[in-house]
Amino acid sequence: MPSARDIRRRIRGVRNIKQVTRAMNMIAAARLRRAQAKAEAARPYAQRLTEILTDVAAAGGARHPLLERREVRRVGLVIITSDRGLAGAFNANILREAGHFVAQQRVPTGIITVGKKGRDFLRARGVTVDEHFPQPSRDVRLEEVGAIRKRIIGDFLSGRYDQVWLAYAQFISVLKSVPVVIPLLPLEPPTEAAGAPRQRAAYQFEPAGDALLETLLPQYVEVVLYRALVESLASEQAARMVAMKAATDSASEMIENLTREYNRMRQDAITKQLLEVVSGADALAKAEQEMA
Amino acid sequence: MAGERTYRLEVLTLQRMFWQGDVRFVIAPGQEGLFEVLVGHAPYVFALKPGVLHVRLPDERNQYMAVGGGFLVVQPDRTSVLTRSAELPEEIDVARAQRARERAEKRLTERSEGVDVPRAQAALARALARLKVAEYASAGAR
Repeated sequence: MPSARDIRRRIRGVRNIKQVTRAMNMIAAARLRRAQAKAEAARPYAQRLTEILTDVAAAGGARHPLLERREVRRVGLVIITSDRGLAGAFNANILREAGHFVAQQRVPTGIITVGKKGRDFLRARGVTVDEHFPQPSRDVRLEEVGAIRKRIIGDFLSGRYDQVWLAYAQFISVLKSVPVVIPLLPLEPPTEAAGAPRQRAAYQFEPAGDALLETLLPQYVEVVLYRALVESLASEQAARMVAMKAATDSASEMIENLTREYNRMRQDAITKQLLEVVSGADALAKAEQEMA
Repeated sequence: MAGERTYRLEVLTLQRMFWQGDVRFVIAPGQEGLFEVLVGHAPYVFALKPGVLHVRLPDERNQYMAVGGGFLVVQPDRTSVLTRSAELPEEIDVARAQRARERAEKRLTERSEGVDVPRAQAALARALARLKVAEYASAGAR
């Protein structure tokens, strides 16, 4: 049976935790807004680049090593998780989805992790991680994305992986993100049907054809990666925001319950003391009467 | 739009819509050399190398930007520059660009092992573009 003082101490402890979770909730909310703005800002560029790629591919005869389909002997999977925890089921959801994917492969799968949580999870289970990258900073700088892109493209071109897939948390809304696994390499040039109908022009290209692809395709890979990283960041912050809101709420509830218990104990103690005083007084009065 | 003497240009990076406005012409650093885009240019996709994007504004002033490679797309309704990085003269840190240039040049002349030559060349091109933009702008073009 905890004493009243124990309960007071627990209330204080829970109150401190609540302050922390509430602060984390607000920070996550602010970072989520920034990540959403980043995702939004990248859209025109991504769209235009996709249009160019569509047009180049539609112009026909697009040939480039990054477009080349070969017999699949080894698959590479890039798993984007976060460096930090306390984000609810965010990392667990992606890792589960990635696990399903790996289980379905008929060929060996090599894993590249982005974000500490993914690497730690896999290492703890004895899974070899071919390569690890820390989660990019909140600015998602191009150098950070470029390093990952370079490695992936290098591994594909060298034949280490015959396909590369990307697992990340697609951001739908604050309350919803969906873990997805999408194909990254070989690149599948988007087709006209995928984009909104738009004004088309018969483009000329400089440099012509394949030489242009040499510049275009790595850029396109970078855009896909960048967007996945930014969306993953938004999903992470949203998950953390929701988790910390829940933690703050249950802390409030716990404080309420503990306070109630504390008050009851205090009341009981007072009642007990009163009873003792009264019965003591009674006993004294009785004794005096008898003496008289 | 016959008779129009300007067209719409937008400069986009992954981070944001970097610059947009009406322009008379653009001179851009293509991978196969400088080229100029005037009003009514045929639909075209150009690959860019790091360099100076020279924009002539409707009031005949010049606007220079350092771009880090990418694409210039001429569409009937607008012209877009898609680039990994873009900077206006006032955003350029000349001292830093100078240092980057020296560093890259040193790497390229020494050619010691472990030097990523394409990367050093790209760094050099970017640094030179920044320095040029800063120089043009301060030369009183505005």
